[in-house]
Amino acid sequence: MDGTMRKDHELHRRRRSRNIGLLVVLLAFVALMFWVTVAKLGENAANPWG
Amino acid sequence: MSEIAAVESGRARGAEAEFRDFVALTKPRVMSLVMFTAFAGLVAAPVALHPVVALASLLCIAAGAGASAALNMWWDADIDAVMRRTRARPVPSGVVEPGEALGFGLGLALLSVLVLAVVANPLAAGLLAFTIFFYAVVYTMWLKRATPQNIVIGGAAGALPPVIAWAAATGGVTAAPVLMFLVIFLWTPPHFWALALFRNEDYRAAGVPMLPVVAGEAATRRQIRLYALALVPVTLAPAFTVAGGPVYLAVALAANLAFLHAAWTVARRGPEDAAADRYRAEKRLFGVSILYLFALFGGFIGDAALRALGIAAAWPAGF
Repeated sequence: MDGTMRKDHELHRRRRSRNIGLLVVLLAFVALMFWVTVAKLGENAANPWG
Repeated sequence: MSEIAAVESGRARGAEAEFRDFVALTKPRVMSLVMFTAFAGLVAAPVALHPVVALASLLCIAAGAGASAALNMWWDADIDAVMRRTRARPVPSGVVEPGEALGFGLGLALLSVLVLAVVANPLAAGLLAFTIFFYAVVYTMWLKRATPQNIVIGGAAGALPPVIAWAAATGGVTAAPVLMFLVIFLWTPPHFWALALFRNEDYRAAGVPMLPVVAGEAATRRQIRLYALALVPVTLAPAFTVAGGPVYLAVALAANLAFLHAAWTVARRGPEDAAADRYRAEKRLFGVSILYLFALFGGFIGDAALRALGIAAAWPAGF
């Protein structure tokens, strides 16, 4: 196995910025949709069977 | 970094865009004004939304505005590359590929409309879809390069966000949001013509038929004065709707005085005066116009806060 350390290319840094940004946006979207669902269910959200 | 350097570095960077380049595609500064006017429409509406639903609705409107901006940048990349003000934008600078901008804009448009339909209601979603279509197709693809009335008619797209927000809260559209629409609709031409006066050479080089390019500076200055006058009754009328109140009326009176003064100064000047001080009055009018709109919609928010606190005095809300 080649044990040489490889320096990240500028391209990798840019791609990582996009990936992390997209991850944050997706997580925020999921959280928002969850809270919208809770809000729309109203008081029943805590006890959906009751 | 100078704009030219930004363009050159963009080309050198190739097509691998960063996250911030996609954020730039959404015109964040324009989006902030859209969010503010939509927020005012939301809190001024007589029906209170759950805060989370209100936040989600606002984000959908912002995403729709961002989608319109991305589609605008995709279509206008050729003229954006010619103008100093716009040539560092992600598509003309080569940082984002045109196809990426198109896909991003269409995807964001679809997502924002569908989510708003689920979160709020179909009327609000329909209005958002119409707004995106109007800005991207009617204004960007058709009017902008065809007529000096481009921003007069195209201004309708920028005027709709408070109406969408009102519809999201109440499920309908009444006189108050229509007046909010008219305020932004009549504000747009003098705002952009002030910019066009001191960026005239840019628009001329790009072949965009803005009013100063087609009709000349003198006609543009006269039109600015006319629109500033027309704005007075239109901006005072919402004070007597369910959305208005004493705060809005006081703000509208003061804002109109400042705007009329700035517009009058511009209308009285000739090209020689403007050239002598490098369009100082025109730049000032542009800045005042932004503050003017923020102040007016801030007035709606102020009255909504008074009502929420239960300290609103009896007010003659006629409609």
